[in-house]
Amino acid sequence: MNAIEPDRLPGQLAGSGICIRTGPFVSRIQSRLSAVAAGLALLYPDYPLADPDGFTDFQVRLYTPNPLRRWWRPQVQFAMDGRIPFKPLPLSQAYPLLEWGLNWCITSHMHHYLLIHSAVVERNGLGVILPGEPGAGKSTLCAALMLRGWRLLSDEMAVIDLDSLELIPVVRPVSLKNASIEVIRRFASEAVISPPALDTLKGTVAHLRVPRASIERMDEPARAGAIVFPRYRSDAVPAQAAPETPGRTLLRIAQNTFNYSLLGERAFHALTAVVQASRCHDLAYAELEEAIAWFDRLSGEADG
Amino acid sequence: MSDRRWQVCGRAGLAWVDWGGEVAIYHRGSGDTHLLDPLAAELLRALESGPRSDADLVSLLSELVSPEPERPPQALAETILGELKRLNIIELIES
Amino acid sequence: MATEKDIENKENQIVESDSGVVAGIESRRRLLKGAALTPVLLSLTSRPVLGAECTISGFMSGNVSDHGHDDCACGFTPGAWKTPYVGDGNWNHTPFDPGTCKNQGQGQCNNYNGDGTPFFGPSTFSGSDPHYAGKTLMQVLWLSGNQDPHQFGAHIVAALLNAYAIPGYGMSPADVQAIYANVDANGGAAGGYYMGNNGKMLTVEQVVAFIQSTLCAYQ
Repeated sequence: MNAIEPDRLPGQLAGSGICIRTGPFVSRIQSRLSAVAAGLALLYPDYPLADPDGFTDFQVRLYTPNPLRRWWRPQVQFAMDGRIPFKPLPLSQAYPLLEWGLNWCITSHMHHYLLIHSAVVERNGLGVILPGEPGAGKSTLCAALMLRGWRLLSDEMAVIDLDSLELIPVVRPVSLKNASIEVIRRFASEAVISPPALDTLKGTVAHLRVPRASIERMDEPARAGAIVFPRYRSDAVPAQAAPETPGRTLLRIAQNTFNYSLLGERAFHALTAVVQASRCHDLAYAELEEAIAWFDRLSGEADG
Repeated sequence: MSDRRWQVCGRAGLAWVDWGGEVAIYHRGSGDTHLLDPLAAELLRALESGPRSDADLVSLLSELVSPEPERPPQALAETILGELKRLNIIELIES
Repeated sequence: MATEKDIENKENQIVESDSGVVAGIESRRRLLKGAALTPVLLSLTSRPVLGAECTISGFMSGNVSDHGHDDCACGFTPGAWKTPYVGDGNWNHTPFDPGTCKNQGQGQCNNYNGDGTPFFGPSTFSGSDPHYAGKTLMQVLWLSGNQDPHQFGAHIVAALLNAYAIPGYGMSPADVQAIYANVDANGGAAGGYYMGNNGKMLTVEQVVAFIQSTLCAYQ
């Protein structure tokens, strides 16, 4: 996307749009909204653009639904292929709505993959699934791992090929919420984070740019070798890891699988195989550094 | 009571994954997934091969479990069958 | 801290067996001794369990999915309904009265008088949960976390308002009232449950997760 001059980006977005490829998915994004252009310029400069005349999986448009309303209570609407899946949001949430909308496109339509609500990272060939149970803090941990050299596959969903059972990268900016925005700023001063959108449905939300190394490897699948259920707990000093049984892991991860009901028995067997190939753990942590040290040991790297 | 007969709900059957200490099943009829303890799994396996009476199942349990005076096989069977029934995995056959 | 042993935890032993052939009775006996205190350790329900087909298709107790919104209009969140003057959630589209403002906070009312529509009443809810007795719908939306276990009250109120206000919301007012009455009769917000016709039970948390799956809030 570096190929587009920054001052030409808004014009192109307003016209035929730009086609960004994130792993196997190509999204055409169209919008006249300056927040969308600014967010894409900040977070997607290292992404490959797809042929604007080629195939796109999703045609996405963000716009102001009622022009008159602009002067009174400005809003933003998300449409995919002309469908409007969400109520409009305040205009200040335009950029988060783009990212949420793209997530929705995948989780609602890509049922030839098994889709688990989880972060996925990889190091030394070890793919790790971090399911997004409530209170897990998966995005914070995932962001920290990514900033310490782990490859990001996704902060939001594990995309598993039903035949090969490989983890398919869908590398996108990491969504940070509320206190975790400041936590990650303190953790890595070099982190590039979008301006926070206040008072969204999820509180304050900002997005973190993904290091180029992860983007460059977005066509390289990984093998799941560990499933870790993280839990942020302020009293977990030192961090505590405990093995989880395969059966409980299967049920817990199935509960976090978007299309488990839809895929039925196929999902049951695919998840079973993924669990079978993985070491399964609960990890309670208070300090990111301790959690990262644990993950580094998991991937067979010396503790330094 | 002892002439009750049980069967697995639905005709599509079950998919099994057995880890020894715990057994996962996928119930094709409902799409539900359950994690069973080994004893419940043994009873369910017996039922999968065909309908069984209370007496059959109690006798199977007596073979499987070392006798515990405070929990006779009848009570154990009652607990397991009640739970499997509550979750719509098995049902009574109307006579 | 994790030990090396944790990390070295040996590969999970998995046996796919449709035949049911296992080792001899004696080894099974050892294995099974003391078992079946809890015959079913965990369950994951797949099919719809509550309310109308439209909102719950694809709903699972984990509430990770937005599938439910594929075919229906999604509803406003409790947060939207409790701040009708800063965004969506206009009470004029419902037959209910939010009441007058008791305290004006930063740009919005954050405390309401008891002159709005009561939580318990003929066109609202029937039951007796002390968490909600004597309060209005709006006051229940504003209850803090420890006053409203699992935020059940706030969610059931939002669901009722959605049922009246939003064309195509998957549940009717009667559906929402039935869910509330069921939970109230089975212990209420604190520690109660929902008992489905099919004998399936949902915890209050799961009912809240279900309602959340009908709301517009993606994630």
